[in-house]
Amino acid sequence: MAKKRIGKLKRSAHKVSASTDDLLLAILEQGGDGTKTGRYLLTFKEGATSEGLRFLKSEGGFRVADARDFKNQAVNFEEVGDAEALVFPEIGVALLGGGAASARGLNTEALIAEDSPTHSIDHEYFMFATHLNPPDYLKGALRAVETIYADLTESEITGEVSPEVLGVTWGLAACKVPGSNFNGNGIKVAVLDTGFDLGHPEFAGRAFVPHTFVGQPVQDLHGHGTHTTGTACGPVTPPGPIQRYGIGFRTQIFAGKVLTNTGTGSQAQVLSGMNWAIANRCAVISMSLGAQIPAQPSYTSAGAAALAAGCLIVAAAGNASTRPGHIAPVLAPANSPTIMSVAALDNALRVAAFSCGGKVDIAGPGVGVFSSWPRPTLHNTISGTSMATPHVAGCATLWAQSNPALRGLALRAKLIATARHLPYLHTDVGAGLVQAP
Amino acid sequence: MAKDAKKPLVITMSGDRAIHDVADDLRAAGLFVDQVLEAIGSVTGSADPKHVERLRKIRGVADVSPDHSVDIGPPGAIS
Repeated sequence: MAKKRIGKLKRSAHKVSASTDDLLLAILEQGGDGTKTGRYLLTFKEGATSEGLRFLKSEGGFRVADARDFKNQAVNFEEVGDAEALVFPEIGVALLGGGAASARGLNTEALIAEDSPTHSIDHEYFMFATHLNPPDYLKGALRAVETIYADLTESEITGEVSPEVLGVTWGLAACKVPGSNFNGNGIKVAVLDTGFDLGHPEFAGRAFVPHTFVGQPVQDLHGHGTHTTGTACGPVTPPGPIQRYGIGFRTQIFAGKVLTNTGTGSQAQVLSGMNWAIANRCAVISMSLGAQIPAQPSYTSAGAAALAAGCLIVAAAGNASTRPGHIAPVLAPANSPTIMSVAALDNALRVAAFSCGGKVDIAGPGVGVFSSWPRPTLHNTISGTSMATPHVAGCATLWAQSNPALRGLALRAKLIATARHLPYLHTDVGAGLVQAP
Repeated sequence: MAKDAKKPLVITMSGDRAIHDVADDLRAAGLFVDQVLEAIGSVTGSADPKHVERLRKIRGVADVSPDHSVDIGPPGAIS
């Protein structure tokens, strides 16, 4: 092994825990283009993670850290120490320190040989507009999610959802909710919206944690929040001839009112709600709201904090398009890389004309969505990416219940890997239509 | 004569200092702190726009942005 004299800076870039500044400086020294971090993402073949771990240690001679060494696999980057590789067993990916990879004479051919446990090796790219803590592993892992998605996606035949499915909304049928064995029991879900009709008869006896951030009672005088909450958390058998419209019917509902009864709020109020939901460790946080502004560092940071705490934020891509003529960019907060962006589909699984495009991660039913509405109306049928978002949130609660390891990034990866592929651009539908377990 | 030139701001932490220490420095630099959101690493408040550059230079601050209004999307999308 070449014993080249390595400066302090470059040595620090060997470790996977190298700070963003160190990475950038090392890249600049080497005359890189500044989009690659210099680190690598190694994707293991399915089921070959432990073999891959051994491979890195014995063949590569890497000092390896394992996400399983951290409580709840919440990697604290400061505790990774001088490790040169960090393995994320849940997603079958390892992050390799750049300097370490070349110093070890990393041979990409050997790594992706037939009999090697690794599937692919990719450059890691810078993903964030700002400095975050903990930024590095999230950048790597988010990139990994994209890579895994690309690898796992297989084509499926798309067809219309039968409107004849009795007893459930077309959206729940499309997401395969009725056949699921899960109900969200034990999962906390936060819906940050216009509040909720806490006296709605179809939610009697449900566990609610209401909180207002806008100076008005949580009681929803708008309707939007009652509708989105209904989709994510509504009952399994509404009374009478009412079709089932809710997904996680045993979830604990954190109803955070961050928008007033006119449907507006400030970013600061929304951030307060996100802070509350994360502090309460809500596994799923649903946000059917936004603003037509670029990705905000505060939202990106909040999304990173959520993932680090085992929470997943899903947000509406936005309704500003007039397709096919005009495709408007995704709203904040959905345009932050750490937040899952949800596009809307109609009941033929086509992209809704209003659905924003660009940074889209997944899609959900969002046209003609039947759900709960404040008394005395009780129900309403409306459209928007706002309606698609709680379909993803609801399915996420079922996945979260199915396996306690499915939290944060692992939950995100599962939703993406299991989504039903659609024959449209990734920028319009992301991984495709969300599916229940 | 409205003399209240304060603008609502959202300050994002870089994460390398304790948020309450940064909040103290922000206050000293002219920010009227509204909330310290520890779980997400943000501080909300308001300040005279002339202080914004000073706030940005405080160690532990990653970003200072104006607060934006948020809504549920164009009503045209609701059928």
